[in-house]
Amino acid sequence: MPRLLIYRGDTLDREVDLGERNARIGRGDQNDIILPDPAKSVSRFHAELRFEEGQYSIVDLNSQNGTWVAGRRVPRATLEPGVAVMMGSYRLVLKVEPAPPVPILDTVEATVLVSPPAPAPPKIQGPKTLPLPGPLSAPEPLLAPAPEPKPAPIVEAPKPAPRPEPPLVAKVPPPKPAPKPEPPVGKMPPPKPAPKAPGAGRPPTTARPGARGIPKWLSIGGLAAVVLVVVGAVVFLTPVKSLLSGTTGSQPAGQAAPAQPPVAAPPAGEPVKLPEAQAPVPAAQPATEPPPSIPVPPPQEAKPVAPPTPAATPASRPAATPTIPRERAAAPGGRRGAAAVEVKPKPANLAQSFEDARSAMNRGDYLAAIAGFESVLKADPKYPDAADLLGVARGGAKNASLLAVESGNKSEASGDYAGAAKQYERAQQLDPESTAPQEALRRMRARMQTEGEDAFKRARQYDALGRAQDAVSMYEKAIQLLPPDHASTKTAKERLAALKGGL
Amino acid sequence: MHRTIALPGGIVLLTAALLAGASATVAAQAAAAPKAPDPWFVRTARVPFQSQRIPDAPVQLEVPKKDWMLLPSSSGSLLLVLASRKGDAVVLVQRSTLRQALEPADITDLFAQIEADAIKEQQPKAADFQSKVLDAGERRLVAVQYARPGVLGNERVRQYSFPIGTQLYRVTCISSAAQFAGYDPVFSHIAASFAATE
Repeated sequence: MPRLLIYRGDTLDREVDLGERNARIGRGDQNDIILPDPAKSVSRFHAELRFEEGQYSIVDLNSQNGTWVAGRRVPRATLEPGVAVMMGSYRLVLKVEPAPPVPILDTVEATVLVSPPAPAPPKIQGPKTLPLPGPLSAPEPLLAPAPEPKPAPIVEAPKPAPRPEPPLVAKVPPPKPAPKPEPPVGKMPPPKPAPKAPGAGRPPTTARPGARGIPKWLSIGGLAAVVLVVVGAVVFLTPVKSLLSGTTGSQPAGQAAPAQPPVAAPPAGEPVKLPEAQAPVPAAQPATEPPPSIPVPPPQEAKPVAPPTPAATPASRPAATPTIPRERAAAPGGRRGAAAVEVKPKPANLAQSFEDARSAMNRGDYLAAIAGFESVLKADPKYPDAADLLGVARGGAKNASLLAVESGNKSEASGDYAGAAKQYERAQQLDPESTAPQEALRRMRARMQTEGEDAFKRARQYDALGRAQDAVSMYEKAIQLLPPDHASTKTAKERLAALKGGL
Repeated sequence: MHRTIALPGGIVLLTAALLAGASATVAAQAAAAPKAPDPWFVRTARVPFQSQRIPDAPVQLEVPKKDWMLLPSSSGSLLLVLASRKGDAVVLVQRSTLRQALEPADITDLFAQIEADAIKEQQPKAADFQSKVLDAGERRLVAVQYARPGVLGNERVRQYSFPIGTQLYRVTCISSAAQFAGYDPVFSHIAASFAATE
């Protein structure tokens, strides 16, 4: 049965079994799911959870602080398992007992997308079938002895191709002006020449094409790339036929691959060349990757490795190397540190900072989220959503601070002063402007001193009357409760040592 | 016009000041008023007493001139035995050593509780415990009263514990339960007269 996990701050508050029913959520007592919130960041009637057509949706009931999904304020959103819905200081996460649905992605796509170091790998089959020239091509030994491919026809292909997607091609932005040498005339730009995309490497379920905060051209570009590949496959059909019939002639072997259906694995022995973005991630390679007997060199080692295939002539490599976008080329190397010392983040880093901050907020790490959003806003005061999310994060931090004070009070009441002190200090960190944690800490310390002095008196009386065991216990308590510089602490320690020596 | 308004205001202020001063005086007198003596720890003039030094101890107390007699005490912790001539009451003075010198501020209800625990340990049939922390000038002591079956039948016992330096003096007053009220003023006087001589 689906369950709704309700987190408050970073702790799981409770789990709610969701039947196939609607449920109203809010601070008020009349709701089906009540989210108590003294700070009133949750509205009395905040949102409604609806079960429609086999899935759950969250509908905001015009709440003051909004309902946020994946960092966006949404009037309505379909609940995806594992995706957090933020309401004030609460996070609601749908949990489905059965295994989550298989992503609608083929193997290559899925593996590439989850590979963290790959900067925005293309969501298409193209890179597999359209070999990109470059020195980092891992399975190069399997390349057929053929010159570098000429993808230029693909650029021209969309116009005559009778595909239903052509209108999308018109939306394809020009290749991101990533710094690179001019490719040979007529050559297709690399499928993903853009700088590292925000959210790259995240699971597909979190991808939000066209979402605010993520350049639209990235998502559109991905779709366009798919279209390009499909169209390219059609265009290349004839050369492939020629290739299969043995008339290799001057036809590049690398172009034979596009003739394969996008979802079909190439036949055994078919030359497969992965793009640079995939090469550093062996796990992301498709089933048609080279057999294990042929090691895939790590990215750092790939460059100096001389191509063992005579056909892969050195002359062809310089022409290919410049097509590697700067940021992609930098990813596998040791330039991460160099990027870290940059004072002002690049736009891509800014997007990554934004994503990091949003992730921090989703997992309840409000301090990191605040720092992240502030950093983003410092670099770009008009960065979309950053100011709003900063406000949400600050509100969350205030609520988390209140919760920490409450938790500290409970710990204090149970005599766990160390735990209470930690909670109060955490509350102070979360909301430095609040005086409540300081007052609580001061009150607790005064209480500790009173109890410590009482324990010391008791210890002395037990000690005087010869009840050593009780005296030891009380001296220990006094030492624990009294400040180290308290006048009685030294005496307590001395007597404790003497008694323990005598015991 | 202004004078007619200012005059009442001045009178009001003066009255308020006088009242405040009077209140403060009353409060100060109340604070300075001696605390009523505790009936367990008060001298009496109904019975004539005489001072009695305790052998081998730097303490003294007052004992009734009549109807009471000092009995020879064995050495050790028992310093003095005082018995009524009727044989229905006795006062014992004992001494023990504290492992830590206690200041008056160190002595709390816990001290009385510890004393009561010790009594219960030694006299399992003791019951009906009552205890007090008593202040006498700069001294602080505890008193524990209880009932027990004894040689006098049902007995009532009141034990005063005086921590003085590293010494603890216990003055134990015992009588039959029926006579305890009659001897109570004597017991209270003896305790109130207990003092260190150094």
